[in-house]
Amino acid sequence: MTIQDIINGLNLHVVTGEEHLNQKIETGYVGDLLSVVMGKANPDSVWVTVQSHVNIIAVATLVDIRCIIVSEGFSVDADAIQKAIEEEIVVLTSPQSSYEIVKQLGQLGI
Amino acid sequence: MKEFSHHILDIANNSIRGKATSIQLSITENKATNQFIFQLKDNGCGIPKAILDEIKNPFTTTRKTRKVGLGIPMLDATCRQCDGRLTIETEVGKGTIIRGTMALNHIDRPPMGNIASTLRTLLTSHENLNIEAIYKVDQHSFIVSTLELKEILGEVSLSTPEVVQWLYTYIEENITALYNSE
Repeated sequence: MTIQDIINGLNLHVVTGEEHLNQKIETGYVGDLLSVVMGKANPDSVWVTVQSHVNIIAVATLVDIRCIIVSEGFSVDADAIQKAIEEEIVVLTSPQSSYEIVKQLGQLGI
Repeated sequence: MKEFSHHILDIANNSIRGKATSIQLSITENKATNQFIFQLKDNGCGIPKAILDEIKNPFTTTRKTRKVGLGIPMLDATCRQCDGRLTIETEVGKGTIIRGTMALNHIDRPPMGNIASTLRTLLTSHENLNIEAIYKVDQHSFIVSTLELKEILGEVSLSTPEVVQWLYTYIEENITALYNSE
């Protein structure tokens, strides 16, 4: 499944990364405690979190996560967007809860 | 980091990597002012201004093995999320003071974790490092330092297994007592 398929299925807003939406997503991770995400998330996951500061881009870079969904309608910090562009990480947002997003990801087959 | 003690170990390890020979650490909980305050003061190499200006940015690191460093950025984010802040004063060649605050009753403030284990590790793992740790809960405080321990132990090394084991219990009991005092 591609990031574009996920955006279509969940009606997500693309904050940055328009040109990288054809990347494949194999699995997912949900969590807000960055150190745990660093230790536990798999590469090529879509990561669902309420955190929206620049540290999430650093964690994604370390774990090799290519796509982050920021839930609960939180807006992404400007410096995080800037780093996401540099690191070629797709950042999406949704007004829904992490639970609702993960449930729909599951229904899509992730 | 899930527990606050991991942050303490992380910033103390920064000092040790920065060639500090002396570290003063304090952890203070004050119910009256609803403050959780921690401070680490070292005599290490200090942080050059160019790095200090960017230190809360996770893409700043002195490590050569990877391009991001998350210790300070995560601690900074935790302090801010808990209605506090992290400040760093430093002078190249003199040392660094890291000071952080959080609201004591903030729901997102990380639990302390096993601070006795962290302090024991710091106090016993580095032969030539002087460490003093002060733990305060309201008006009660507990101080433990390598200098004091070395004075008591005389010729016996701080890294002797029996000493290491005893030290854990000693720190653990004294900190628990702080919370149980009126």
